[in-house]
Amino acid sequence: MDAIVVENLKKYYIVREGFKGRKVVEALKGISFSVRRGSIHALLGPNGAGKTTTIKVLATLLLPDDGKVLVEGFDVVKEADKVRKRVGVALDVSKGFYSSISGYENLVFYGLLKGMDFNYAKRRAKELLELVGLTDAANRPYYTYSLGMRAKLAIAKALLSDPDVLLLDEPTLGLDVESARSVRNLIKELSTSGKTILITGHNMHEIELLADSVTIINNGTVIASGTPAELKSKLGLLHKVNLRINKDGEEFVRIVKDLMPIEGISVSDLGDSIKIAMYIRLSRDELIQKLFEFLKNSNYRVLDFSMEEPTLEDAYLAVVGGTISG
Amino acid sequence: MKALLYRELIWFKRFLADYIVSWVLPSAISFMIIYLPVTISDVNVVIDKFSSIVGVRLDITSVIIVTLIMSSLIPVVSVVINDIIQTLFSEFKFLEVSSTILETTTIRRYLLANALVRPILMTFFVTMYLIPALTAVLGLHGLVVYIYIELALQLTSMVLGLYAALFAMLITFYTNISRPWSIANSIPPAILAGSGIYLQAYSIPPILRLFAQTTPVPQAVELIQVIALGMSAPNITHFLAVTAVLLSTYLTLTGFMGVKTDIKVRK
Repeated sequence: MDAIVVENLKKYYIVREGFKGRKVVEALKGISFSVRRGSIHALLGPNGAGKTTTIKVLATLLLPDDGKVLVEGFDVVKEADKVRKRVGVALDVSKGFYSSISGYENLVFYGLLKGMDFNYAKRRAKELLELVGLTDAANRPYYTYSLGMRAKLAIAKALLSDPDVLLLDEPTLGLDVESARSVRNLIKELSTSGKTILITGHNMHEIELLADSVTIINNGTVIASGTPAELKSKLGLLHKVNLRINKDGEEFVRIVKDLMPIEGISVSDLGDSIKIAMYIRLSRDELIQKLFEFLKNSNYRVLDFSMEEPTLEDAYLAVVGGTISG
Repeated sequence: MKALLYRELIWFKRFLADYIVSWVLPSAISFMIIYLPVTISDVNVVIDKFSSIVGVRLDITSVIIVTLIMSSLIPVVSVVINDIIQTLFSEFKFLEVSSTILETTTIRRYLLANALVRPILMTFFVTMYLIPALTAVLGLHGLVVYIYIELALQLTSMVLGLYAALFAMLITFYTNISRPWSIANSIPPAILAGSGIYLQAYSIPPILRLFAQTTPVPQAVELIQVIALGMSAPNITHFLAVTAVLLSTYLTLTGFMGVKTDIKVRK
């Protein structure tokens, strides 16, 4: 079952222009996607695409102008209180807390705002500070926290009420390598424990590591969706195949060109062997099947083989940029 | 409510130095109000002047008690109004804790709780110095006077909390004002001056008196004066009636505007 369902979501903003002028900006022009319970779903898109707006609507921070948005089966407008109980949010991890009080006190305050019992809020705050590795800094004022510590505290806050759904807006933005990795590991662990996670970000490598499925939005519309593998496959992106064979490179190239859609090729004679690099526009499955079938029925001896897959970044750039790149 | 209570207690611990200042300042003001005129004239002249302000013949102990108690209104009015306005503004414009608030509750609930819980606590905190001060001057009877004064101040501060919440909402969500303190700092002196604190009613400009009448502070001044003078059965009907009318009016307005603002903020 889907934990998040977004159907034809529209959101407009009225922006001031000059002294009296008003301009309507369409932030979301009817986007639809769903997130399977217990999975990590990534919302990707350039700055201003509508990712944060979508997260805010799901978190009940913004009211949609049109469309249906359900979280765990509850409508974000009509059943906002029920949605709030089931959702944990981390928006802009660098702020969002009272600077003069400690991380622990901020978490307890948030827990009480969420309607928790005082003792339970204190216990949960301690547990989560331990989970995110902030026990030592628990009693330090928030303003002394580094960006990494702030991000961890934001995730702790999102987890405080043990929500079924986590909405994380660029949770590793600005973090150092070590902190980003620990946040990634934490997200992965949470997903394994059954939480549904909707994440946004610009680090494609990170999203590829984390996300089970992806929705790419641009200018307020969904332009692609699916698993990272499906996205790459759907787009027919180029795979780079490196081969080293024992003989007659030119003949090899001629046969392979008839078999597969080759976009580019280079052959170099190494003396005792031939090195061939080919850019092939085929899905991984098809490519492997065709190439290996050919090699099996031929007299070529393969001395070396490697294949470079297109990355999610390639797919993203192809979709957002409107051109397919290899 | 629990959350705000918790945060206020944390802030009290964290900003204890600020509260100490709020205890020292009114004490110093009440001391200066008596001491400075005495140095340039005579103690009897000062007593006469105070007697003419309150309309009753006083002795020096009564003058000390009246000034001490009257001065407690200064931090109550300024802390409640400033804190309610500036905290909401910083929460939504500087600290950006707005998402924490909006993802857990509605603006209406948050504002009402803020406007009622915080003034009660803040008033208690800023007037704590009255307990030792009144006990020192009046002995155990000072505690009884303190309780009466505290009740009057608490009721006043609840109305002031709602009153400030309305300003806070207007400044934060309906204007582009970026220096809310310029407004927040102007309201308390206007209310205090218009309420006749340390002044005779005829000397107050009508516009200020009118402005002060939008709060129960003028009635609180009268009541506190009566309590401070040790009158056994003060007439509290006028004070309670004005407080009840203003409390219900501002409660309704804050509730109504809170709903509108919640929709506006989430739009």
